[in-house]
Amino acid sequence: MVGVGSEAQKYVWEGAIPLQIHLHESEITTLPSPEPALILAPRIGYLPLLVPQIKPYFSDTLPPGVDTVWFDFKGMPLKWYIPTGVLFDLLCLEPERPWNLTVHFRGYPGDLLSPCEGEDSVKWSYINSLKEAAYIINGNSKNVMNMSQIDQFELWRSVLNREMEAYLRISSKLKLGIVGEDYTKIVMSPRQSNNEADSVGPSRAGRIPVRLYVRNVGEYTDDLEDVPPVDSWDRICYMNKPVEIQREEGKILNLYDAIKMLLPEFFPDEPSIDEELSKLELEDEPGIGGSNLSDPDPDTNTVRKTELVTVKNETQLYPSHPTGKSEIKLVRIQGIEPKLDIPFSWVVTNLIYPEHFLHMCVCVGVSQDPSKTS
Amino acid sequence: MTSESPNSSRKVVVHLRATGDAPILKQAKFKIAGTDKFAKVIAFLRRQLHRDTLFVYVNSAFSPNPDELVNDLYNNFGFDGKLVVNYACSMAWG
Amino acid sequence: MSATDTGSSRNALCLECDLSALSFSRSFRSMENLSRWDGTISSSEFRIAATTLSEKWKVINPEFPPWTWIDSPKPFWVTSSKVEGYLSLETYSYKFSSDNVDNTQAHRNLIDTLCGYRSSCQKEEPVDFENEEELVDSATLVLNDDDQEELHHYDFHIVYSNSYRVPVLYFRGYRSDGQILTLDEVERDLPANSLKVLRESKWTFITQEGRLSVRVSRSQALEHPLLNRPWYTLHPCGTSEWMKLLFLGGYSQAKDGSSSGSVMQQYLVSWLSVVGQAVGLNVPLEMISDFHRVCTI
Repeated sequence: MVGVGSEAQKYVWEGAIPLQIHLHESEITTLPSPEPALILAPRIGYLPLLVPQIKPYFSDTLPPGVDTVWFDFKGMPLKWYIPTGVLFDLLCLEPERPWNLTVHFRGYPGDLLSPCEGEDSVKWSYINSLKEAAYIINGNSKNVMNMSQIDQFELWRSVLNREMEAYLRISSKLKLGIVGEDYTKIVMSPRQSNNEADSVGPSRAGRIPVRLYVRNVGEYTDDLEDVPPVDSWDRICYMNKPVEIQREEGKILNLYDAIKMLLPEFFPDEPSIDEELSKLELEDEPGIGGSNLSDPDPDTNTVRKTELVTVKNETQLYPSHPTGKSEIKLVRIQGIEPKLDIPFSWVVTNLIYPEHFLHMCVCVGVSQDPSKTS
Repeated sequence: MTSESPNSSRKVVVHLRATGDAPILKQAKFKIAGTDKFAKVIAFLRRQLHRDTLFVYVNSAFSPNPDELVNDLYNNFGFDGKLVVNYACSMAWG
Repeated sequence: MSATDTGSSRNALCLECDLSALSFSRSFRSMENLSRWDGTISSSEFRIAATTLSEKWKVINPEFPPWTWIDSPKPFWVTSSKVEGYLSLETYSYKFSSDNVDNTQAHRNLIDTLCGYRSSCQKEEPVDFENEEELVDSATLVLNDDDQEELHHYDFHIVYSNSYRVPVLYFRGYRSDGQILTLDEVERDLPANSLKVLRESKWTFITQEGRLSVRVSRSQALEHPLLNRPWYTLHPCGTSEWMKLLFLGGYSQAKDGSSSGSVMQQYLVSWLSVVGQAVGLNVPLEMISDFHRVCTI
């Protein structure tokens, strides 16, 4: 169904986050201080693209000099090439509306952020990611590289202006479809492993582009509001790792299976998981993970479903996890926490971003101080 | 054709071999002074093929630095009295 | 021992062993399969190739800083060091010289002079190159400690890309005071032939204005995937194609006696011989001839 998006896709494309943008105090040269800018930011868009809307609020008060725009949330510089929706889902665990951000027009932190020269940089980054996604899916980037000038221009414009139908029309030419209309097409062979696909000869496996952002919320199991804000990107584990699938008859791959492939360390007892879980003491209260990820309908809220997420292992996982508590608490994609038994193919088709990557924010509870990552 | 002893006037036979979709040269075999640098071969190829972008490599999956001496390349990679230099066009960096 | 005890640590260890054994056996592919090889490697094969590169480099290139394997600093919840990591060559010092500034035009003139040969010759006999002037090329790096202020330092990292399944080169230059060099400044450090190679790594994406400015397209300041800091990189999306050509495009003579296992071992050395030229890193030919003199497989 080329050009006609699903309802879920429409929601995704129309999704936006209200922002309240404050100019950094060091750049305010007039009194009274300017009012913050109130902007509706598309989820699938990027912060630098909002600058033309934001600047008029502050141009009168900026100190002289050349603009080098960047944003921060509670002091942490925001990576401009990560879609706005992902930043929000990852950094603002308890959604704050409007989302309060600070904009800077000077003093670009070049040691932390790669340079951004406005729309061109964002477009380059977008196309680069699209090429990478094409390579992951098809084994080469030819379709993207051979796009006509007009198509490229139209594609980018459809992303800028959130024109979903135009986007679907042009991007369908790129043959990046992973599934057909039948959501059961991505299946998992019974012996699915985490090994990289055999690269000899044409691959029988498929690969789905995924960008995973993992954040440790440690002991803050009860309330997302209590989780302290991230102060550095080093505290977030970013994984750019395709999900590898086998196209065979068998079980339908669901979101749970995909997450297990990406974060196998959180599922230590893979073959005997049912057996194991029956031995473990389960929490009575669902907890954050339970309430978000298990079926709200009590009839179907089986023990199995809750366990899928909150596997509490009382013994050691690894030598240096003395209490052995390691669990996934939250999986957020496009602002929602999907049920884990949803077919992964549905998730991919409906929740991917326009560059054909699925961005997933995962909160985990690892009960020891995460080691510094740099 | 070429002697084994290093000699300032010794010539090395270079066989330029098209690979991939590169055009084949009418004249593919040349002699070049062993003391010349590989850069000369590359430059020559570029001129002959009217292309700036060329991927040039020898049979052992190696792309020699242009500063290498043809003698050294021949001693290491030559066989059957010649040094085979492969070339391809449209090398995409990414 | 309870069942849960058998889980984690033992399984993790076994999994690692199995993985490496699996990849090693898979890498010893038959010759028929090698011809269908797509030019990519797995991350375990990358690890093997990295070991080979760093060991040979130490022996054959001892005056240069070594390539060291650094285990990936993340993910934070896993403490056993797995296959992931990268190769690092740090603090490679260039002397910044104003001579390097304007090499391009001189280089072009020399090429024009050298290539005055006409291809009208019909004979099968090998023909002489015209005896032209020696190509004046500062293709080798000048290491000079005289002027401390003018010293620029470079770090190179070779990182495996899960998406492209090939190695990717990241590099960064900085002054002695630690300030990061811009791409313009990096280019001024590079020898002429590197500059040429760097400029040739063109982006083929055409924007509405025409080609993206060459500056942006050659290499882009991107995030180093493991270190959260901006580095310059040479884009990997064409790598598998030319790696395949590099190994399979030559005479079959070269392929006799080399199994796919030795291809994997040699992979990074061959890769670096190409990519290194864009950034002034020279791979001595002894590193390659070593593979074929001592045929290990």
